[in-house]
Amino acid sequence: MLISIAFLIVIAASVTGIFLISFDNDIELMLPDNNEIRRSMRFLRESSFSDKIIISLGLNDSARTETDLIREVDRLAQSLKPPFISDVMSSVSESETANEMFAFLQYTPHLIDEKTLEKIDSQLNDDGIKSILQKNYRQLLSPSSMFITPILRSDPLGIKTGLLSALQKLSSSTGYEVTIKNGHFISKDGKHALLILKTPVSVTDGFGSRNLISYLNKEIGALPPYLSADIIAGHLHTVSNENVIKRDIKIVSIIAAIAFFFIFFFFFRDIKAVYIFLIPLASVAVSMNLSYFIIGNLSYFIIGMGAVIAGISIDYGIHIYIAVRTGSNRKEAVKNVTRPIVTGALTTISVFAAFFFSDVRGFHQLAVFSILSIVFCLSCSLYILPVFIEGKTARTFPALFDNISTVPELITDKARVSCWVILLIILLFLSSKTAFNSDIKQFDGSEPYIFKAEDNFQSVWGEKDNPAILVVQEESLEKALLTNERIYRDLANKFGNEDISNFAAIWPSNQTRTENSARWISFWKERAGKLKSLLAKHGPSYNFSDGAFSPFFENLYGEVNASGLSEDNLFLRRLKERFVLESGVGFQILTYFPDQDRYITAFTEFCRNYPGSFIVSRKSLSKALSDSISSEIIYLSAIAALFIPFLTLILLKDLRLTILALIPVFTGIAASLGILPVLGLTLNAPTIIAIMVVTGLCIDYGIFMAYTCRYHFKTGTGISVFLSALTTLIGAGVLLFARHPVLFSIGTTLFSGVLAGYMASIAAVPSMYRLWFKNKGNILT
Amino acid sequence: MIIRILTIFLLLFFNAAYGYSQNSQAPEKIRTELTDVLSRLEKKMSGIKTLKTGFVQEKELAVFKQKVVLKGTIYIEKPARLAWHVNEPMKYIMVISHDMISQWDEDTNKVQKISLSKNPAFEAVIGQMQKWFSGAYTPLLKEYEITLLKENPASLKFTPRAATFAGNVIKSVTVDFRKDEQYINRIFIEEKSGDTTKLSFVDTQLNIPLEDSVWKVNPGVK
Repeated sequence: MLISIAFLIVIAASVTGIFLISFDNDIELMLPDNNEIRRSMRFLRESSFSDKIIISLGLNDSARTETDLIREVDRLAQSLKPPFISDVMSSVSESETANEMFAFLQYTPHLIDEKTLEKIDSQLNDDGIKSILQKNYRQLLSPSSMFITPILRSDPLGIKTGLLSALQKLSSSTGYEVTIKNGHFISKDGKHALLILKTPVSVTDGFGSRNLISYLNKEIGALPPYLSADIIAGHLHTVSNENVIKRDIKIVSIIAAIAFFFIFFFFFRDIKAVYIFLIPLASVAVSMNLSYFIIGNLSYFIIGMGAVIAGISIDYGIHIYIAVRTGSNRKEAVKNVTRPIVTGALTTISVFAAFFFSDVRGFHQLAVFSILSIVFCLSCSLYILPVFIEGKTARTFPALFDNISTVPELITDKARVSCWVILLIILLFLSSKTAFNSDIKQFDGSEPYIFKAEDNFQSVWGEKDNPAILVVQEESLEKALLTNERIYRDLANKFGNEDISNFAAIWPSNQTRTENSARWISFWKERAGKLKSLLAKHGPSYNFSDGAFSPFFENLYGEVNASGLSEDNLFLRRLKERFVLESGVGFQILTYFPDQDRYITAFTEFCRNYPGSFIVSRKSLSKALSDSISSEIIYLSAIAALFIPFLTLILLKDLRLTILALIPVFTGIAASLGILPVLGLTLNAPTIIAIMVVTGLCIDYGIFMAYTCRYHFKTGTGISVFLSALTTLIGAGVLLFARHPVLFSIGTTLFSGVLAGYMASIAAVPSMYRLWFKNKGNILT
Repeated sequence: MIIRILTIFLLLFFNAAYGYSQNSQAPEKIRTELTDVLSRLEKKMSGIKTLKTGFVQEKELAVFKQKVVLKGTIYIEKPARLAWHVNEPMKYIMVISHDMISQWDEDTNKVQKISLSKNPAFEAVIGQMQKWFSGAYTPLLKEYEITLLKENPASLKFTPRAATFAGNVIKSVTVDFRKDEQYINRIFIEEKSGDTTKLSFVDTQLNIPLEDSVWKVNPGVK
């Protein structure tokens, strides 16, 4: 009674504790602890890119026009306000942008470098000036000539055009195919408009993301029916993944509960068998609390494995229960099954313990959670459960067991083994088709409408790949600008600057600007007179008046403050936001370049010369993940491959029996890998975890069957292995109802592996034993 | 490179923005008359599918010693083609065709091509330029105050509003329509600096077949 009360108190406390535990769905937890990967992921998370939201509004009524679209864009932009939205960019004032661009040209003396001055110097001769004047004259004949006169007068040598060109290149390198119509971002088909929002809500903030998305949906809901809206935001993925996982856990729990009830109802029909089911549930609850105390926040992905862990750990109770109910002596029965149970538990624990050797933090959580759960369940099964179970009674298990827990001996052992070999060959052949997938996107279980919106967005606004980023990190902005400048110069020399967008193209460091300014003044003090003479000499040939270029000379030494970029200039502020990031540790300056192998390889090599700089590229991130996970698989598999046979050999003390016990393991692994290409799935980190779980379970079946074959204990091994497999298959099978791709792929792998392992244990192991040990006795009775 | 400068200036000049915002201080009657005239002109000019017109552009600029007179031909084919051929004082051709702008001049004998999709700002400017030639002036109302100088045939004076960039450079733009108001007769631009540009259209032919050759720049170029 006391034990029961204590047991109930522990369960009640654990269940209560679950509601106090904090969970998170940070996918980074499931990624290897590789510096390159961590740095890239951290950069992407901490940079402002992921906290931007894009809304694409589209006309869905052909009777409506661009005017209607623009009016609604303005209305929506005005309605979006703090605290959820801190800034809305839906339009640019062409006149203000142009004003700001021209205001920026006042910095010309500070931005023109020595090389450009040398080029200008080479033009200050008769031929050079004649060529320049001829070009200017020609430009005045173009249809827009009426608008270019002022700039030609103030910049006859075209010095500022280079800066304007660099400015335009940087400002237009957004990656979207946008046209500016009436100051708004309009698609090429004229039917869509773009709004870019900035939010203080972080993508990783699940609660904030949920409120933000609700707010946006409410505002978008007020749009007229002739407009559709696609939201492109990382926050949507956060909310949707959380919804999907929560829903999956709910569904999986309900189905598992119903399935376990039916097992109880059909097979046990004993109220005390409820303990068998209560023990693993209590174990999961207890281990969840203990894991939280040990680790801190738990991942939803790991908790999603709770049903699987319950399915695994219920086996111990089943073996004890069946042994006591079928054995003639309770103590003897428990003693007979204790060794294989403990060995099975130890092999399973060894599989999970192997995860401690992994770099993936999520795997550590899984190991702690699983091992605690198994140890608690094993202890309860061995020491508490037998106290409550009645011994052998008149009422035995249903006759159904006689058929399902044994394989009818319709065919010979040789035929069975041959069938198993053929099946194994087929599974191995299918396994060879399994592909490994390291793309992070596969872990994204967001609902289809989100991907549909993103596809729509891509088709409307262009399908350009996201550029890769070279990040320069320094403790101060000036230092960062200096390093960035050197990098840009070296990159431009090596690769040209056509495909590279770097802030240094328009804004070098304060030191360089000051040097440039001094050089400019000195240059023109020596050459302004010469230029004036040349223009006066050749100007009349092209009808230019004496004072045609006087604005240039009047503004030659225009005073500007070289100490910093004016924050009043909105255009430049926006540009700076894209290239300069301020973090807690200093400043980062970004260079955008095509995410292509040749650039990534060369730039990565290049970065070695600049400590503190690094590359962020989706492709290289994917490659790093692939490399890291591949080595992880080999490493963990090797550890598990050593642990399992070693522990099995210790128990069975016979090499041949050990090999027999490993038959279900080989079959289970082959089936887990073979099912993936058949269902169009790929191998990834979560499925590798599942395969290792399959290994731990199948070795249990193998040990039990080999042990029973060898020692002929009357402990209902066939029945208990069947029920063990059934409960595990339920635990894993319910995951097939999951929508989240990670949980689904785990379910598929576990289900196929455990099913194949179980079939091999009851069909192949006894036959192999009989053939190998020349013992034809019926081992399953 | 100059195209980019040109872009900026066109952008500045044609900085039409969305909205139909009339001068709130103008009497209701005048506003209604202006609205009627703009609608009438847009309706009349909307019937134009193709256009061929000679032009004479007279520039009196401080930058030039003497007045410069350009003569040539403009071709328009709605919705997306415009060609500007200058014959005097030198040969120059600019063709805007859908997404591409091609320019050629006699001196360099080179063709320069620019993709509009790669230059969104330029694309916006060209769109405005085509709107200017098309006679659809309603979108310009936000940036310009429009005065009806004469009702029939219409003569409109566009004065840039304060605090716009055009207001810094342009004093006024006057557009006179020909008698039947089917097309523009003359555009006169007066800058604040005192420079003036007069663009007169002569021998305008509407809705006639245009030869393919007008959309081609010199084929024998480098």
